[in-house]
Amino acid sequence: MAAGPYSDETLWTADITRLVIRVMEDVNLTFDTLSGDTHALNFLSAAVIQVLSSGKETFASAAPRVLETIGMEESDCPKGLIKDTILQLDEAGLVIPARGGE
Amino acid sequence: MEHFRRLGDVPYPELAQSLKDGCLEMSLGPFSKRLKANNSQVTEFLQDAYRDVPVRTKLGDITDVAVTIKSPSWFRQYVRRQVVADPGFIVPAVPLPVRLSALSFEMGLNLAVALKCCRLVSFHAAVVGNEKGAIFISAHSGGGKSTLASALMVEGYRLFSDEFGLLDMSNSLLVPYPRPVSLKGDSINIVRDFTGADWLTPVLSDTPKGDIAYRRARPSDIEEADKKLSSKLIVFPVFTKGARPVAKELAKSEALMRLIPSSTNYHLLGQGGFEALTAMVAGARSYEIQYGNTDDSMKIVKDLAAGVGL
Amino acid sequence: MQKKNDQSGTFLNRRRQLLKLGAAGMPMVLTLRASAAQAVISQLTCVITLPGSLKILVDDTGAAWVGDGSLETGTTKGKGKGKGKGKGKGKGSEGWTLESINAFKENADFVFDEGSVPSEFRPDECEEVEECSSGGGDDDGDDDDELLAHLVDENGSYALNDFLAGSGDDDDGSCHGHGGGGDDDDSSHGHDQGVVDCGYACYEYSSGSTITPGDFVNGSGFNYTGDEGVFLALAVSHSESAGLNSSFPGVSCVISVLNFVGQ
Repeated sequence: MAAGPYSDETLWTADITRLVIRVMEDVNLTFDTLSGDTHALNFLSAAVIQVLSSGKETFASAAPRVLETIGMEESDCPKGLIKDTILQLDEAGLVIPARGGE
Repeated sequence: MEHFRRLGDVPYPELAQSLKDGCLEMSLGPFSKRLKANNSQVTEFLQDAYRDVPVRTKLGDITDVAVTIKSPSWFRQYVRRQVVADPGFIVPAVPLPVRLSALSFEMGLNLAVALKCCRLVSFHAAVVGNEKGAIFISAHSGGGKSTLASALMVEGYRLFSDEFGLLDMSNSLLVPYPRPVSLKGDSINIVRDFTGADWLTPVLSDTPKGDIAYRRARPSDIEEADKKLSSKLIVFPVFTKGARPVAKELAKSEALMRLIPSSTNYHLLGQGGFEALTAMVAGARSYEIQYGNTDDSMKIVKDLAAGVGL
Repeated sequence: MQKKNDQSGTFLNRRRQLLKLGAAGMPMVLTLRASAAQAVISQLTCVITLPGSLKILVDDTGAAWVGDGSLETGTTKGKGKGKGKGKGKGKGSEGWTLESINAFKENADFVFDEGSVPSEFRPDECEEVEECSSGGGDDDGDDDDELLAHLVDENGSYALNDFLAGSGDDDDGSCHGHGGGGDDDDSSHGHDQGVVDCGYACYEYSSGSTITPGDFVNGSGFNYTGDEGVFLALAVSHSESAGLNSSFPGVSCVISVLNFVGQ
């Protein structure tokens, strides 16, 4: 499901409009109308989608915006975890690398 | 047009002829069915297990489901006779000896509903309820849902369904479909002990699933089959012989992610199925219960039901 | 997506604990695949099989009656010109008796309001006589007396909005799409002796007919064509108005396809 090779310069994006989201007890139950898949996203992965839906970001540029969204410090949520989360979302088909130098 | 009659009131010759002609129309819950079988074992099984269900011996309407019990081949009509259920579409089905025709019939009916119903979200579950709401019991085969449902019927709960939990996508209410409860192995004797033998069909021995008997739905269950209810309690029973009884509440998200794989058609229904299921889970409390005998599971479920006002 | 206002200590501690588990390798995303390919196949390949014969009677307003009653034929008198659509063969001046049309309507299992049937499946309105009588003196050339005569059935009651017809049809008493077959200049028209040969079309489906709704799906939804198109149009209409409780034949299959195409 992952979109392919990536680097630290890869820009990532997401399309939140195709997702139907129901929040239950801090879990974002998400139905992807494009794939028909159902996902359980925790608050971090949900925040990553929210950030990448509002603009294309690299791993590095996404991190501070994600931390701001979840209201936590890097000491709580290391950048490596945010990168791993983006890659997990890529595997799930919920984020994609922006193509063509966009 | 012929009126519906209680199946048990239809004389055997008329019932047999109607089945032979493929004209028996059965109305139960959200489905009407057209049944065809030139087979005395199916006729007798229907007279017993479905005796309180409304039927017409002349087809009066177009039906949702059509099931035919037939021989898998010309040869098997005569030599080591076998039957197979034809639910109206191509699906792998195991031919069974003719003495297991009743099981073949039930399996065919299950297949038809499980695989071709797209107006309700269908789950492998048992459901019972009272006027305040429903208890949804989700378990793998052998997990004890049928035994538990039978025990709860004795406690006064309506039987909604045994093999299916059917969820209306328009309002997230559970839809009754009170077919006979399928009991296997040790649960046959357990249920016989607390319901009485009159409510059970004769045992089918040495089936691919072991011994099987059916606990008939009560007339009141069938009469109230048009009354839908919201789910108040979702339980995931896990039977381990001799285990100490424990109930663990589940997060709603976990309950939902457990229920999806138990659905036979969720993957077909798209957003409508997701929204109905999330609404159902949001309105209920969910528990995994571990138990070692029926008495324990009954006590736990009754306590949990009381906790949600059932 | 986020509840930033719920920042109590317990809540934050729970989130911090979750992040620690994530850093230790616990997945942040749990996915259940839907198997979209299977959905495509299953949802579009359901088939409706009709276990009994069925007729759909359509009038020129797009109203429809669905049932299994019979429509008796008779012969009209007079002359006129009509045209329409349907399966008729366009010969002769046979029509249906008003009595059988009314009986069919009364006994119909399903009734659909005006506009329910797409226009391409409706019969044309009955046209008025070109060779008007000379006695009326209407400026427009119509013969209102004759028109009136054709609008009133044997019992003196108004039965139809229009008169005059296109085709006739076979005379075996079943449904063959009267009004069909195109222009029929030399045929008789309207209704006479309680017989009408215009303003209605009928579509008949024999026992065992199969209809695969998925065959009628295009990029924007259903593309209604052929006689099956009439059936499908009404099935969709009924599923939309009656929802999941619709009892129209094959509605489960239709809803399955509707779910797929997102209508």
